[in-house]
Amino acid sequence: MVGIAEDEQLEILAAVRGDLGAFNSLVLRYQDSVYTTAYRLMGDSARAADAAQETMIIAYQRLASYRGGSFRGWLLRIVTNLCYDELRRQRRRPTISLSPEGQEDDIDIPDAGVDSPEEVAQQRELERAIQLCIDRLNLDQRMVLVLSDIDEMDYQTIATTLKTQVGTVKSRLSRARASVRECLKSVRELLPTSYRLLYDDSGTEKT
Amino acid sequence: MISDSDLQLLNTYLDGALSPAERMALEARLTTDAILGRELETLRATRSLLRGLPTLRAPRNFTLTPAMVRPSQATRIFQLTQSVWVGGLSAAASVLLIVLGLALVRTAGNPAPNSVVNVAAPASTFAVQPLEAAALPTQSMTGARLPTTPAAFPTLTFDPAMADIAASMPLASPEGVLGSVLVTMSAESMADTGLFESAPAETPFTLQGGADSAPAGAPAADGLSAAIVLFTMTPNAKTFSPTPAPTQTLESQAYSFMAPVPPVEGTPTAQLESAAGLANQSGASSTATRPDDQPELEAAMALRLLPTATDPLPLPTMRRTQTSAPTLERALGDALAQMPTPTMTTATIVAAPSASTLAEEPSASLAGTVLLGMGGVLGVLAVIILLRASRRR
Repeated sequence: MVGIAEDEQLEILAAVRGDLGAFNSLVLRYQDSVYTTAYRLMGDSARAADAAQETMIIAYQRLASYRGGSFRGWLLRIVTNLCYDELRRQRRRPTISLSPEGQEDDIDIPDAGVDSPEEVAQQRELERAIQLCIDRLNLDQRMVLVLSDIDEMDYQTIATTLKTQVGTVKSRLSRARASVRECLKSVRELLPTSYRLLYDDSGTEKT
Repeated sequence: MISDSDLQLLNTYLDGALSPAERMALEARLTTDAILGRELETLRATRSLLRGLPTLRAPRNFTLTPAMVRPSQATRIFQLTQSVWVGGLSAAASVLLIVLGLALVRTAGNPAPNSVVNVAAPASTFAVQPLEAAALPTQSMTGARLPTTPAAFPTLTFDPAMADIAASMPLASPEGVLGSVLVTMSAESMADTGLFESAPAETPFTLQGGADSAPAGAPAADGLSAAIVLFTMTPNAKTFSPTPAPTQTLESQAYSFMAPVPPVEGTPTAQLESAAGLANQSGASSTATRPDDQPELEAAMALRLLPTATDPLPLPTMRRTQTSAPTLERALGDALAQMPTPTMTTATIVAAPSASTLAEEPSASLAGTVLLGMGGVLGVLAVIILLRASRRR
């Protein structure tokens, strides 16, 4: 595993010197993560792909400002900021979504390979339901939730990425998760049995 | 229903971000508080559902092609605005401009000691060129080569106090010069006029940068083909000093200087008589005066040879007084029009209200201010660029 990290450092160094091939190796390694983050934030595959492509171009142009650390994290920060700007622009000037709510979005999930077709279909339904719940969050909560639970960044990194305070990150994340929890109650039949029971219990308690 | 702070506590607990003390306190509460425990479990379930979302496969490769990363012109310019080098250079240039500007403004603020009057007089320059096309035998001057540095041609310096002082002077004196007219013509022509023999050997004028160009008073000789003739115009001239003594008789003196220049081939003959006499004609007394009536010349003239019309030599900056300039202009215009074989290619009317240094002051001050302004703007830009560059680091 040390070998991979060293390879990556060499690739980064070569890319900084302008070696496009080396940079493209890095692109291939991290493009799924970048695209996933963009998709979770934007909820739209076409716009997520645009954002991911733009991220790679920006990353190449800004390679000189890369200061070590996780290259994946650096790319994710770029794509997050890009999506944030785009979503804010969109909020000011709403446009028609390329894939309206409820319509099947053509996302490609790596095949687990062991599940039955029914199980795969059900799993996709659940994922779509969770994505819809994420989409319904306000922008600030969505940013924190995706950085925390999709990109698995710690509080401090999230705060740095979003240029805010750790306390703000905690409270936004807390409200975001609670909102998603409430949202998921409406699709509890899609949830795995163990979760469904939990939700049933808490649902009666909460209301 | 739990409080927001408890909700946040539970989430932070799930993320393993509580301090040991906070964690122990919360765990103690969880053993007794069933509602809090159920909240924790539902949040834990939600969190793991979110974290269990798969990484999606990119719909296509996002690898870059050379065309995609070629920076656009706008990008390059944008990057320049973040460059430490550009910022540093801008700052240095800004300092230089400000220093130069300050120096110029200070220089302009210290007028030359001998300029005592007419500082506020508007300094305007005019020239009666080009002449009528028909009157310009440019080909006749072709081949002529004169010294091309302005220093080779004497700059006429006028006493700045002259305009006022001269009015009180009885007759023409070197200090009483109101102005001069600069006309170009061939040395040969001037030799023909016979004026030079009578010119005094010493000049009352200060010749700036032209000391080497005179033996004064010599007629056109071999190898010397350009002549500069100064006719002084005195304040007694009725034409040119209308205010103090409108009826007095004009006195004039002629001086000549020989410029050491190569012979001019094909120099046309010009008649100084015409130029001189015409100035007379244009005067208040409309009597036509013969060229040999030198004492009655009304206009002071300097005659100078220029190589060609298309290759004019730089003339010294000329300024005019408000009193004499219109008349001088008219006199010269008439003179030019009536020259039988016009050889003048450039004519500039001169009359200076003040020392030549005065002429530089407004422009130096203005240039200094402009430089200061530019330096200031550039300085602000440099600061912005450097700030951007440091933020980018």
